[in-house]
Amino acid sequence: MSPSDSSECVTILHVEDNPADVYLIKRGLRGSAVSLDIVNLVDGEETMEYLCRCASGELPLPDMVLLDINLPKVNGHDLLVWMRSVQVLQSIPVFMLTSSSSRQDREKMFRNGGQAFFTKPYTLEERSTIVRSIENFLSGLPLDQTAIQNANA
Amino acid sequence: MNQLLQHHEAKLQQALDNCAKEPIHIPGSIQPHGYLIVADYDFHIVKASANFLEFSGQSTQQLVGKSLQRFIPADSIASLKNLTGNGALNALRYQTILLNGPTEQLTCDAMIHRSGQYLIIEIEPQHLIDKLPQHQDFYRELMGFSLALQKVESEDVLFNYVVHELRRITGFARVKLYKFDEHWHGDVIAEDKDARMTSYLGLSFPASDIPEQARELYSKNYLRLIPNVDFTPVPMLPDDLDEKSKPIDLSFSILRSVSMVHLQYLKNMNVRASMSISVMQNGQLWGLIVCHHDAPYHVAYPVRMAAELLANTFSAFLTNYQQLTSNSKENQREKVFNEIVQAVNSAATAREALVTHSNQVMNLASADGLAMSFDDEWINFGFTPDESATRQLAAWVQQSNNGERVFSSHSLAKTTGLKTFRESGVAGAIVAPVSHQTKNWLMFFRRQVTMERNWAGEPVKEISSTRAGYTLSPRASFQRWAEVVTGHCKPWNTLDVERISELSRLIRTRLYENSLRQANYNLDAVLRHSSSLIYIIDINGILVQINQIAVETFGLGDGEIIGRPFEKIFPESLSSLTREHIDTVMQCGKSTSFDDHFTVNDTELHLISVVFPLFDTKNAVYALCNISTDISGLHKAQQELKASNKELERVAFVASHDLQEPLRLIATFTDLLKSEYKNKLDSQAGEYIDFTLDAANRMRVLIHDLLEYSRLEQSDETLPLIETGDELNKLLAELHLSGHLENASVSVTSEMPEAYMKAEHFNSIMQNLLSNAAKYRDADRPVDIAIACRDQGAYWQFSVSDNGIGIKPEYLEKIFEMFQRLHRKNEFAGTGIGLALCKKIAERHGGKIWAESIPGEGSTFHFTVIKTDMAQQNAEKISPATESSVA
Repeated sequence: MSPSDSSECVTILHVEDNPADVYLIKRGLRGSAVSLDIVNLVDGEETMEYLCRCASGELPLPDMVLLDINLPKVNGHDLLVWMRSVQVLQSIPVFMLTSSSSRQDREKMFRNGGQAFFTKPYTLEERSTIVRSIENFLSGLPLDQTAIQNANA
Repeated sequence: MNQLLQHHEAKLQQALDNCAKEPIHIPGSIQPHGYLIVADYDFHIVKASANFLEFSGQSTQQLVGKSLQRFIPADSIASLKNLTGNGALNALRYQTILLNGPTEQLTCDAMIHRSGQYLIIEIEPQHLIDKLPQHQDFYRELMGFSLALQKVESEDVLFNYVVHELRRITGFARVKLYKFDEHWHGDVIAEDKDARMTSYLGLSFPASDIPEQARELYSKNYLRLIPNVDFTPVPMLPDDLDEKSKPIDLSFSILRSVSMVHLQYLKNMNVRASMSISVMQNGQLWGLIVCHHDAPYHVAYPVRMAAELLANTFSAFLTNYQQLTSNSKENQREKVFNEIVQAVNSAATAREALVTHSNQVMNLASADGLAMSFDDEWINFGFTPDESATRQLAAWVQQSNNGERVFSSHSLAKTTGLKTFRESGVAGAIVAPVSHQTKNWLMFFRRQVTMERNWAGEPVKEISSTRAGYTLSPRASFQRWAEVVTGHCKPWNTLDVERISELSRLIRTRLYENSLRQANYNLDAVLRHSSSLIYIIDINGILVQINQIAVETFGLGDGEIIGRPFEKIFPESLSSLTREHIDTVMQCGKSTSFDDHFTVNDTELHLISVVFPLFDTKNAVYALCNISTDISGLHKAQQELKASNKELERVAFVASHDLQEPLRLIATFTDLLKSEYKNKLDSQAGEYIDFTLDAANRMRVLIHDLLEYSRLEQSDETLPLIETGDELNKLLAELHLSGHLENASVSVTSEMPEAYMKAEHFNSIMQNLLSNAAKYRDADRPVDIAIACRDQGAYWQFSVSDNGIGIKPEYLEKIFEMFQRLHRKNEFAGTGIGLALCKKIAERHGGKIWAESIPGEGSTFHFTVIKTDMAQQNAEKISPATESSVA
């Protein structure tokens, strides 16, 4: 999995139906070194349609997908499974960002081919951890498992 | 035994044997007060007594073969001949004749009877007779006697009248009525005598005084006469020593000689003349009328005949009299018996009947006391031995005849050998078992009666040595010799014993009927009050019994259903099911369980049934019993409860999960507000923001714990086998990293096992215990935590010990309750859910959790988990629930 060239604009697909959460992440990523284009989609079905268009070449493939689990119409887990079943979409890194802190959800995501699992932040510090992980990942640095764990603690 | 006594006994036996051997019915001699002639049927002389030879002046040779007509006129011979005719062979016949001798002519009484091929002719010259008949009218004599007998009111009067009359007729100086007891001892029960004579009234004579062969003779020939005890026996001539010729039987002879022992006996009694007449009852020798005279005394044949007739009349009357009295007594008893029987039959219980009629029951056997046992409870009436004695007696009877027959004794101590009856005063008992168990008895008791028997002389025979060995010599003294007889009661009446036997059989039946009836009542009550559906169907498919609830549940209506084939009564679904059950049980022959779901009259039934065969007395199956429990309601309720629980858990889960979202945003945005507007707000606003953040954070922890708690309820999956040691190490690393175990030294003091547990549950419980151990630290010392696990058989027992502040004993149990906190929030943070969660986790794993503590020194928390896979066991019982997909 290689992130996109830093000189180009990086597209992040943030699938999240809660605008407050979308805002929090967008705001956190505002000061990033890389230029980010964050596309927000609010339900599973819409996301599938979007990704179909990407797969057909109509739209550019996103560099990363931030996925909530509890989504209208099609939930995050099912969406991930679907993505991994579509060849073109298989290589897109998926981070789960969800209110769940359950080990079950985390394990399920890794089993289904997700790259990282974060519980949504309660504090700014927690948000920073998540944002830092995303930035690091996009900069080509390896994922820090401890950071993921800590984010979930 | 004393040797001397033994010797005496042996001598006595020999003497008695000798006496019994004396052939008194065929003596070779006669008494001298008459002549005895044995003739053939043509009145040719075969033998004659020596005194007749003397009278006739002829020798034996001259006389034998001669016709009697030479001495007796032809007409007398003819009438004598007549007397022998017409059948009655042995009967005595009498005729007054003239006996012609060479020197004199004698008026005589002649008696004739047959003995085998001979005629026995006995001739008593009247001039030797002391007592001639006063008048010839026997008829009147007899008539007067029997008329008088009719008026007699008691046996005593009767007896006295008899002896009085006999003495009047015969003129003897003393007439005694002598009655045999069951041992053939004789008691003098009535006496009439001249003043000069000794009285023997009330005295007893031992059986040996009248030996058996004498008694046998008495029951054939009713009269015996000895006019002079000092007679010289007159031999019969020719003296047949010829072994071939049969001796002539003189049983019916009047003149025949008597035993010398008997004569001696009479002499010792100062008797010079004697006459005895037999009194018979039902063909048995009942007694004797004994007439004595203190001088030689000869009564004429007609007088003797009158006396004998009188005695016979008395015998007949006595039989009748005794029968009458016993009949009236018997009727009385029968009446009482019938009353008791009726009472036993009509009372609620046999016991009640017998207790209320105890007096009558007692009278049934003329008992002095009555003891009854019902189910081992003894009730006594009247004169009875104590309970321990009655119990011993019951046990003895049970052992002696298996408690099957009625036992009776009039000498208890002797019969049973039971010591308790020796001095008890109770001598007799009738013991009737009234059930097959040893618990029910009917016992009748009689007091001991001390009897004094006055013997006429000490009843020990003198034995004298003669050449023929030892012979009896009769006792010389007839002075009253008193013997005291103890340990006996009045003998029981055989009829009474039989009646009691009948009563006991009746009671036995009643007791059995009662227990049967009780069993039926019980069964009825069980059927009526049971919430189970119970019915019995015989092997022909006939409905024998069914309880009301079954009738209602199956909707069988009010019609007649008992006695009809079940297939015609039961609804189709039930009927086919029942047929299946019957076939199954008939095939395997034993109790079988069924679990059936079916619909009857649009009602769904779920029945758990047990069907078992019923056996008859011959151990053959005659019917099947079905007991069903309708669990459809229960089953439904269970399902509903389960669903409702699931729903509640789901609500709790969703609620706490969804609460998280807004809370999280409140927290993050407040945090954002704080960081981005730090400089634009005053210090007061900053403080408020901090309070808000603090509150939001506490709520976050609270929701987290609640979520975990409710999530625990939802899981039904099988449990993985985890290495608790590995999990613990990972957890400890995490906790150290996160600062939960800051400055704490943690040691694992034993090997950690493999256990069936979800890792997250193990972690959760351990984390809670460890963080508590670290949290409630004693500020004065560094935290020291020890973790151990012990094998407790079916369980693993994990323990976490600390050296913290400890817990007061009264809180040791409370701490595991939800939201139970012991400290203010500013002392120790916490939600009050942690230990409740731990408790739930332990219980979910078949174990429990508890704490031990010494306040100020530290606490140890123990929890156990079952070694086997709990969830798997549960999963087999409960259908797996679908997993919630909410996240």
